[in-house]
Amino acid sequence: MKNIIMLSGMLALSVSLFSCKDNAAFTISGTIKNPAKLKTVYLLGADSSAQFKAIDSSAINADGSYKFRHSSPYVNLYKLKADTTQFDLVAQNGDAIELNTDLADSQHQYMIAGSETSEKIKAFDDFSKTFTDKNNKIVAEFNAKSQQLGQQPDALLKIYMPLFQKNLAVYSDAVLKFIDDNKYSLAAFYAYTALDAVKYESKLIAYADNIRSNGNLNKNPAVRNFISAMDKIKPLSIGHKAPDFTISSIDGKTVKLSDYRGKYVMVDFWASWCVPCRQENPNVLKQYNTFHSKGFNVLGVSLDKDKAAWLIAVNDDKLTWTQTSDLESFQGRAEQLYHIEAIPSNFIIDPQGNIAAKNIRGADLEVFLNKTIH
Amino acid sequence: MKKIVLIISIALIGTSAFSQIEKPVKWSFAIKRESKDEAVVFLKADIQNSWHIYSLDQKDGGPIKTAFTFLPSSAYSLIGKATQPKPYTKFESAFNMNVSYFENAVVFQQKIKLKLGKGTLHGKLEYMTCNNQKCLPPEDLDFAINL
Repeated sequence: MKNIIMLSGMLALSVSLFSCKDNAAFTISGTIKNPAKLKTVYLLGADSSAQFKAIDSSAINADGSYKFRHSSPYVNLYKLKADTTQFDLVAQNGDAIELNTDLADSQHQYMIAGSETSEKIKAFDDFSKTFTDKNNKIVAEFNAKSQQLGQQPDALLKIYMPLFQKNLAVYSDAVLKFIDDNKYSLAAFYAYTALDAVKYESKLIAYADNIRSNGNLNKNPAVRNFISAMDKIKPLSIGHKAPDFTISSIDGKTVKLSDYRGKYVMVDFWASWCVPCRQENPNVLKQYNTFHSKGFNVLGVSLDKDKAAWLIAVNDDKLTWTQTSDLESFQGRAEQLYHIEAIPSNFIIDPQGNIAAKNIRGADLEVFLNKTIH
Repeated sequence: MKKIVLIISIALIGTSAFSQIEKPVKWSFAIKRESKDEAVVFLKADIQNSWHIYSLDQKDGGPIKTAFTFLPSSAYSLIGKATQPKPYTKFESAFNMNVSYFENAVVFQQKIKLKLGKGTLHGKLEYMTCNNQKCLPPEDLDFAINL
């Protein structure tokens, strides 16, 4: 009898030892200084599209303290929302996270402990902020100067746009390094949202492949969605075989993409009604005139439905390369095959029929052709 | 000058890998009775920052204009054409013509005569949206408004 009591006493002891680490849930607690009239804080969680929705709320006590206890079958991104300010964090069951802040602080500084990933995200946010401040300064300077000048900001744009882009490139490189250093942490997944998905498509696809079999990350629905989205665009990414198609030209001939094998060809999706496409046409024409004799072709695929409007635009813009269309807008066969969701869009295909570049315009197109075609 | 600021803001946002298919324009509809047998239909477009849609009177040979079609019904008849606030207009050298467009939000209006005092107005709208970088597929949207 006595033995049994001792045994159950030991059991109770072991349970209480374990309860220090609660593996069925995570907690987020802390103190909010100067809450003023604020009575409640909210916990937002990322859904499968990485959109944040309120999932819980906690009262702010008289001493400023608050506490959430929440359970999730996978590690996920969260935000603590206090009035209009949001604090990013990562949590999984077993975590006991502390987050303290002062709402009177206009800089929204906060202290976070109990989650290494959340601390990394904080460091990333701090770093991103210095970059944003820098670019905001460039934009403000540009705006002030163009206001002084009045009407003609083109010359100014030539000075400021490269500054802006250089800053963005430096930032993107730093983001890539952060991702590489934290590959298997949700912090890297978080950081990826800062990259331009068109420009860094290849990197995104490689990252998806990298984390695909990571048992910690791949239970997260947003991560899973991201991986399947990358799988969908992978066959049309750089280095892959360009799918062949047959289409009618403006003068009624049958054109096949594979007829262009042996030379570089840019498949150019555009339409007469698309302002940014028409603005880019003079640049494509200029590059075509320079590089055509060196082995560069362009195959125009128009998303026009109205043949007359298409003909007028081809004539007005003096486009001399082969023009084709199904006259079915985004529902055309080539448009569907290449998953065209916006125009202008282009694919540069190498002499072997592989995709060598995508969606490059303006000065970038010239840089690419200079580098690739001699 | 506005245009340039916009270019920069687009570059900053980029296209996030997590963004769903882009839907920069949201439409909403309302009706207001003016008298016993007259009402005004409001067709409102909320347009995300940096995107635009084109005016009702955009000339052919440029971007695709916004257009409304109201299906004939015994419940109402149209009074005049749909109206719009004054659009932004600028000369677009790519088209060699003026392009007129709306940003942020715009409310189009159509006056109607109520013939039965009840019923449903069915209509269709077509529009296209672009920013300074790209254009999305032209869209057709059906709508129904209770009279």
